Amino acid sequence: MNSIKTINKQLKDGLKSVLSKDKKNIVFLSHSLDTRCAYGQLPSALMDCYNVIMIGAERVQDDFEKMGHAFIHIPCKVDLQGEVQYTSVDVDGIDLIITADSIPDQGGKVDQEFLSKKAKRLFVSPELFSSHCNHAAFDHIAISSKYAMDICQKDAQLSQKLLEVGSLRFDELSKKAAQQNMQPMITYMPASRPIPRSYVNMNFVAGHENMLLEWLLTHTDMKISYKLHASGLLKAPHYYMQLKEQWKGEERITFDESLNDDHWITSKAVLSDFSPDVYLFSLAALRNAVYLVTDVKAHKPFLDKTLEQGVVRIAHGLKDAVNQLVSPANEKDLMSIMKQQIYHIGHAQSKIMEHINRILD
Amino acid sequence: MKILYTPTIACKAQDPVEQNIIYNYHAMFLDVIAEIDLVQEVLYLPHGNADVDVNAMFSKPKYRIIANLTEANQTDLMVTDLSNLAFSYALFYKKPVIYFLPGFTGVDIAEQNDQLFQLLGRFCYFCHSNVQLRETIEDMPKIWESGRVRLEKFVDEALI
Repeated sequence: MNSIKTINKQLKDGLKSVLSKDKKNIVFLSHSLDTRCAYGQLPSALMDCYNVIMIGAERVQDDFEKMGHAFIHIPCKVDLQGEVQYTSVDVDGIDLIITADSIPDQGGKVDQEFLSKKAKRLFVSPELFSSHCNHAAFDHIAISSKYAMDICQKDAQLSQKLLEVGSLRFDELSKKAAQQNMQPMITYMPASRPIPRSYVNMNFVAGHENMLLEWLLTHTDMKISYKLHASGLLKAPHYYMQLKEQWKGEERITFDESLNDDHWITSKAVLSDFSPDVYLFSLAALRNAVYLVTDVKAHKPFLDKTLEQGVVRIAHGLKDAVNQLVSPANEKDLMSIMKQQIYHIGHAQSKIMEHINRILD
Repeated sequence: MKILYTPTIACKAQDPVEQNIIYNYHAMFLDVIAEIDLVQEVLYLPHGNADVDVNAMFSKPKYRIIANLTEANQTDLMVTDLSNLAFSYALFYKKPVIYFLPGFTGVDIAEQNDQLFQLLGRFCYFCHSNVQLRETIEDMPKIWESGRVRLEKFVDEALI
């Protein structure tokens, strides 16, 4: 069993071995799997001028790992005989770290110092209407929308860091939605959820999914795709494995475990509880996205904010959800919100490259 | 037909997502029940310690909230997940109980050499899907004709 010191040395040596002495080095860092789609084709576009290194906490052989000049597996924490220990990797020669992850671990130290204490840090929000991160840890924050900018500008200290960029992922999704035929399919994409702590809660969680799938199956004639949150892909929760087993004979229900956006973006509509990806879907594909949220009182601020943005519909219960999913999408309104809100539609990549060139000048 | 719905208490939700799941679950159940023409009303008896504000939860047709089991005397059957009230309801009112557990694919009580399970077998029916729940409720008036006789016989003989 390696000690944390040995692991740190191995990780450091591995990273040093792929850094360039001739070109400036840019690192794309994704601690979690669900942020790996946030960079669009930016890593590839930067490869001509820079040495681009992709770094992830897992090795899953997805598109993210195939981009850039090299992929290195460097987790910020490791499990050593049941004890979680933080890795410490600080390497000279990294010029810019671009990430869509902000994790509060170790009092913000991971955001601020992981991989390098000297490199500049650029946060690219994976969400359209939020740029939630440990702002102090980043030198620059790429903002997708006017809505997110308005929130950030309330903090005067932040104004110097904010970059009007748009959304790399939104541009990618828009292209895919335009190029691929829409399928008669509803994608259900629940947010990440905790493991139930009792049989009663297990029945609530798994029963929720089963009642929902059965209802969609009997009250629509569309295919149903269940997209598990990326956080469950490495170790699928028990209820999910049971769901798969239970519905495996049903041709209209499929389980989407891909880490890319190719399949779900072709849906006619998407349903979720709290996943922010539904905003991307609704505005990129101009189709219906619905949140199933019954706990109106406890979630009032969240629901008010959602309704204020006007992109996602709110459903209370199954009947309401189906009505909202199958009703015609108001493309005109969605288009208008998209144009008003999102910066540099279709040009986020060139815009962020301008900023990167300036940062590294 | 009138139904008593008595979910048991869940562990406190760990985050807003799980809390919403629990609320959604009850709303879904009421949507499933509302589709059954035979059902005129659902009387919802929340657990006394439940962390669920049912009044603020939703407005659904065919349902009202009640405060205790005595108000359930006009109901025809009870639906629950795992509530112990099933025994009081079945033995006092001599009416059937459906254990609706859509999160599980089956429950095996037949093989258990346990008197409580044997008693349970005299009045309870397990359902694991929306369609199974609907069919069981629709068939209950017929099924319970003989079930009621069996339960009454048991109560007369077994209870002091």
